[in-house]
Amino acid sequence: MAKIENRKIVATADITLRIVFYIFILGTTFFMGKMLMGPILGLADHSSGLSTPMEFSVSEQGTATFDADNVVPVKIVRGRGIVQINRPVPAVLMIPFFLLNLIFSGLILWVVYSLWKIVQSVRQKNPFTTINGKRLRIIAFSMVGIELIRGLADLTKMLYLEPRLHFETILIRSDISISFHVIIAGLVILVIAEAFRIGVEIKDEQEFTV
Amino acid sequence: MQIRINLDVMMARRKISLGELAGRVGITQANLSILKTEKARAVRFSTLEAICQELDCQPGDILEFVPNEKNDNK
Repeated sequence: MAKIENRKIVATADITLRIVFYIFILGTTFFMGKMLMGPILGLADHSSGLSTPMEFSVSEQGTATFDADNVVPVKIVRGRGIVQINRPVPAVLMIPFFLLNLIFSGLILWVVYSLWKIVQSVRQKNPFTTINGKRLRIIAFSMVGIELIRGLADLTKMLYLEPRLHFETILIRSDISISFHVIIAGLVILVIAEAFRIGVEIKDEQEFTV
Repeated sequence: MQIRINLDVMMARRKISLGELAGRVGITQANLSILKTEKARAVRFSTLEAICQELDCQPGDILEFVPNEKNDNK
């Protein structure tokens, strides 16, 4: 019973990844094309507006009610939000943005493609191959790379924006928002990839044992 | 390859074909061919035992150690 269900899950994963992969290619081509051609075709105003996550200090007071007569004061001191500026990305940021986005999209595409190929090999009942070990390594390094690039892109934007932003009630603070669990997940996959590589070696040796 | 397989020599001496030997030893013809063409990375004792039994020979008649030239110079 479990065997059939697993096979169904793998088949679903195969189809889903295939769809995600093609949608991502279309999306990336559209986004990159718009970013490159936008200013030339006059489409830039809205599409290439700056939008970046930020952290800010704030002092907002409220109350919390735990039960009927237990009302305690609550203070919000720090928040996260998205800065959105509806004007074209400045020329200084355009090239690094484009390059970072290109690498970022490329890595995601690579991860999805590698995962899709691994799922396909599982479907064909031949997952223990050297190429799949390499694919797992690619996924692991890409995950770490994606997270670092995302953090770097946010930091670049914030470093550029921070001195230019002025609000009355909040104080903007730039911060690297790298999620370490993604990096740890990448490292775990790297360890699995290494175990996989050793497994493939053992399997190869086993195949040539008569 | 430092270990030379002389299976074909022994098979010729005993006038036995690959398919026939494979059948008697109890392994596939493809696997016996892997052994004969020196592509095998390891040989199970049980396989070696069966081959020796069928060919009426010693393991040394099938396997031969060929010293590496580089190692000899050292």
